[in-house]
Amino acid sequence: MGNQENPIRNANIIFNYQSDGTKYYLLTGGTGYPLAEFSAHLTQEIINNEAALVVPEMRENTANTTGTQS
Amino acid sequence: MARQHRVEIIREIGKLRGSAVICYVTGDRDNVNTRIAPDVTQVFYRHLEMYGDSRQIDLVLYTRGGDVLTPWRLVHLIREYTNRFCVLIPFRCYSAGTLLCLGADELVMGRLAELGPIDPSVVNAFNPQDPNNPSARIPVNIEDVYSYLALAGEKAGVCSSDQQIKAFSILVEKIHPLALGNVHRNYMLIRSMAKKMLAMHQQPMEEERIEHIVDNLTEKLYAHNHMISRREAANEITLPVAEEDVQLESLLWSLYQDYAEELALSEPFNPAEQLQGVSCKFDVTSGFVESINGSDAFVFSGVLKRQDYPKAGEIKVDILKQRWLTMS
Repeated sequence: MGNQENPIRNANIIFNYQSDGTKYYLLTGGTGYPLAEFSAHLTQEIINNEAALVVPEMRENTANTTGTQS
Repeated sequence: MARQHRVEIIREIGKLRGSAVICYVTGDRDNVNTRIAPDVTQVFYRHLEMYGDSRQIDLVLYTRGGDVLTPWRLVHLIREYTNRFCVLIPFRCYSAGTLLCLGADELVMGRLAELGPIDPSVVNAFNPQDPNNPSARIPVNIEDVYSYLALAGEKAGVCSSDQQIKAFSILVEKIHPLALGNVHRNYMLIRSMAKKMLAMHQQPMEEERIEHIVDNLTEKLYAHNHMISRREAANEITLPVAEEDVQLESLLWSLYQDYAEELALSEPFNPAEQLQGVSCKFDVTSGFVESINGSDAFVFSGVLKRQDYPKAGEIKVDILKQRWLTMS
């Protein structure tokens, strides 16, 4: 990832969502993979770890236990 | 009560199979997901140390995937404690979860069990920006890159070296060279790792079968969201899938349902439902590593706050901590 300044460190991130079920998640080096909007105001703990990246993901479901179609 | 219920099921599975059982659930609850990642290794070590050396270790696994290198580390760690390692799959076990399964001597798959291809997508700071959200980076699937080059070569009739250079140059215009370098490295890595995992079995597998399995799981399924059923895993991909065991499958499904309920996997995490007053703290458990000896949970902790700017009635969610906690 290098030493370059994390470009989203000081940004207030506003997300534009398509209608296809894509969401944006915050990818760090750890287990946690939360919605990026929840961590848009990045804490020092996350910044001090490996660079965090915001990535889009579309979730596929084969069997939805709520009974709704996706 | 849920933990106690799960302990009973885990104990019963262990008795049925003569094994030490560890459960690893990376919850996929919308908005508070978890994934396979290196920070779980130490958690596994705790549970393995509590069991000590075992005749057989069974891992009950539910995951949508995660870091490509962690399965390799986990399988090595588990095999420090046993010569026989099996994975029990009640439902989803995709991507890095499937990769982890390759290091197992036996897979027990329920009727709804699903594996997935192990073709990773890679992302770093050099990946293309998402045009809808410039702060986001688009992951690049390694098989997509190689499929493009194959398409250019086979279908478009690109055969001279000049034409091949041109096809590659078009790709480099869209994807940063360092991102492409990362793609190639992971292309080699995933194949090498899959073969090494399959070579770790108690009963060695023939080279031809290893090649067949790796080819299928990396490039011959053609879609990353191809869900591999028990039959396909056993008959077509020739993974070491155990014979059907109705009693065991019933226990596995009960165990999965308990985790799904405790983690509220089918309900998106909705800040509006959690907020009390103008501002409050929250803790959400989103993953587990459990055995009869103990329980570790992955917990997101933070603060919810109602605010009327930039939009009225908006709720701001700040995750302040996300980490594995030892519960017992």
